[in-house]
Amino acid sequence: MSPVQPLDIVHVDLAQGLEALRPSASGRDIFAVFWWRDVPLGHLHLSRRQLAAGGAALVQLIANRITPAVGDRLLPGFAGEAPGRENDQPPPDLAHLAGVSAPFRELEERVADALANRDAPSVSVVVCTRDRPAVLRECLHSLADCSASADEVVIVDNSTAGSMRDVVEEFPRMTYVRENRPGLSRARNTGIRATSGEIVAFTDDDTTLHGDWLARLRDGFAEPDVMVVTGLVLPAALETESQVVFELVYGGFFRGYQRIVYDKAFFEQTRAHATPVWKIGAGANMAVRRRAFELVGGFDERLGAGAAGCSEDSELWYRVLAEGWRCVYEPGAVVFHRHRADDEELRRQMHEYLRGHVAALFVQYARYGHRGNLVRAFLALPRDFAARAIREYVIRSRPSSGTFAAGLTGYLRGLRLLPLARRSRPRRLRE
Amino acid sequence: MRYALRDVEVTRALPRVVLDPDQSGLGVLVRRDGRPVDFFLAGLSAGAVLEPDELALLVSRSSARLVLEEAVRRSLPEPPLQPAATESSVTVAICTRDRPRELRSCLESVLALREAGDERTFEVLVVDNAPRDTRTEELVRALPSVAYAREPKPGLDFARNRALTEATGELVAFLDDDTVADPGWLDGLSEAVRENPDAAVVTGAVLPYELETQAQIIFERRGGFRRGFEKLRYHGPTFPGNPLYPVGAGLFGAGANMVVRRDVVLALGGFDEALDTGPPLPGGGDLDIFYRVVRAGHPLVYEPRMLVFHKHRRDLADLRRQYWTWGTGFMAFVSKTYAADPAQRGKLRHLIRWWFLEQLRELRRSLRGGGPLTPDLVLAELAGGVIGLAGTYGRSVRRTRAISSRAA
Repeated sequence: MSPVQPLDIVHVDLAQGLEALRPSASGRDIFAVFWWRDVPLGHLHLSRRQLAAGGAALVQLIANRITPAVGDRLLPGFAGEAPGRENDQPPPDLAHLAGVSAPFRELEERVADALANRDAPSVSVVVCTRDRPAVLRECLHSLADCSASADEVVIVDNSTAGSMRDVVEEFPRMTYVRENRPGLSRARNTGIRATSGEIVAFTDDDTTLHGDWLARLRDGFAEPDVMVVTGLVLPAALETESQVVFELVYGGFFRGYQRIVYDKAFFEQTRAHATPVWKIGAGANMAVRRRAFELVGGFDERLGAGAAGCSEDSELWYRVLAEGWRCVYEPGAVVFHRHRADDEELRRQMHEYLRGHVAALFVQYARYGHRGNLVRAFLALPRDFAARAIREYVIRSRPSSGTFAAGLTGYLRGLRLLPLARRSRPRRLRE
Repeated sequence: MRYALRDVEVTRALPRVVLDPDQSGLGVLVRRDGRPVDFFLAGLSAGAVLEPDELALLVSRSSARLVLEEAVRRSLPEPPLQPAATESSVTVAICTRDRPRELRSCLESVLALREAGDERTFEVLVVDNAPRDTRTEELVRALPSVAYAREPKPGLDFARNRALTEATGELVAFLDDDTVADPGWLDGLSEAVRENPDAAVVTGAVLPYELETQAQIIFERRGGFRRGFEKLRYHGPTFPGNPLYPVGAGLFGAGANMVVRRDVVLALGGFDEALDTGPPLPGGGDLDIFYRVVRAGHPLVYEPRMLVFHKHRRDLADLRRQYWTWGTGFMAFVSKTYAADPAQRGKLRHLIRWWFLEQLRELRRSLRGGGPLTPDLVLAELAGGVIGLAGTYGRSVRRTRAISSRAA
């Protein structure tokens, strides 16, 4: 296995041709993201040699990679599959499928139709931030560009000294809110209380947003029983080893380019091994129907960054699904995430992920008594660690990622939060 | 046990399929606008009748993605870097030994390509390898447009090397005598060469000609010679997503349907005559040439449109021998390469370990009645692999030298 190399990210709008697919001046491989105008369709890691050869094999690779997303936009039967769920969607109608001879033209017509038929609920955007003025400023610039359709934008400052106020005041349409108590869940709940839109969209301060981000998230709520919509998180940069490892070895926040509906049937089919709610999306790119907070409560303040670590988002989704509502992954809503740049940060992140994950499993068990959560915490995760240890250190079939120990200590710290598993009643968001 | 075979064009109305009472399944070649895009097998009840809409459902369930991918591929813009077009002359060479009946149908399919009202011409050459009688010669002499050469030294790679020296084309297309070329075969070759003028080898798709016996169905259910229906280009020291490239040479294609650039292969010393000798080492020559071409820095491409149909072994004893052959041929290639190409030894050790683990997994599956194979077939391949590693190649080299010096 070759050592991890930085990559140039190249965005290719297929409607504009493939001109961008040339060997880069930097000599690096490229991470090519393919779009049809504003619809993301897939990405490929391409080597210099593949770019230099160009030609039919490259076109075939692109076709292979983007066909599922193209199909998903054009035909029923190409939706993505929820992880762990048996595929029960009927295949596309063959005559219809064979009739698609100009897929991109049809795609364009579909996109135009979707834009025309919008019956928009009101949307509030909440960005929680902490001590990162430069990063926040970049995020807010992109948000200002895409938030024309937002009814309000609230920035919740969770930093120690309230130091983000100056940055927020550079942006006229944005409201500054202070939350002194540390913790991402608390900050988000404060953001929910400070806003009034029917839909509350969340992103983190270390992202930049695609111009259509908010519009696509909102489209995901067309059906009334959809309570959560998550979107596609693409890397903003693959400059450092940690960023490349996070995206390409761990898979980043990547959930594919096909829409996926998560519903009660998915929940019931996967419950015995802890429903993999963490695969539904990422807190850096999600929107929640305000009614959901009334129905299942807000973010659990014992979880999340600044508390147990993370998983405050997926634990909310767990409640949404358990109560019979739906979550939708809508890859058309794109944010670009700045992954942790150095090893130390990546290790700390892995530590927090595991600790937060175990804590969320305990909380989920406490609320619903679903034993799958304990099975995962005490059997599946240790087994995964053992398998990973064998792969990385014994047979070396995969390069040691350097975060194994961080993940393991995070897991063990998580186990110490076992008291969270004590059965209790669901907590409601305080109004 | 028999399966029916159907060639289905998705842009036209689908047929109704009526199985014979002794047919219990169906193999479907799926095409879009004439281009092969997928092949799949479906077990059905004996004598079943499939209405067009039921067939459409089967096709859509297994091939929807590839049917759409073909439309997407054609609609994509051209990449900025395009190779300059060139023309190359072609010789189709068929190496054969005492199988005039198979040879005749192969030749007919090849000659039909030439008669399709096309101005592209190509030479057709039959290499008669150590024949026991004159049936092959008589057959070929009766066809004025087909050249004939006799190679007295028995062994497929002797015959292939003979073809390289007899052929006049810049490209030499090797078809096994038990194949039949699809009418689109030549278009596939032209397309691959146009798209990859620098390629030294083009391999094509190989699908079953018939599924008339249990042995043929087992072979195809295990994957047969299939390598998918997407264009592939292999070039350089690594291939994204495949850590065993280029030593896992099976992925490059099959010698039953391969085209080589004559000057490149001659410059590399031709085919290795100690492989593909017929018993006791009847395989591995194709893997070896693919590997050497790629290691010498030349591109190798796989073109699914360059399609042939292969008559698989009809009885189980022959199938067992075939798997044994694959095992010995593959491992003879591996042990030869281990000695000849020290830079790749790490990957080769990985490959050997992967191969044996894979066989053991297959064996476990077969013992549980899970996979397509019965345990004896897996054991045949496994035993072949062990034998192949145990000095078979060296013995074959000595034997081949003896044959060559006797002939000289």
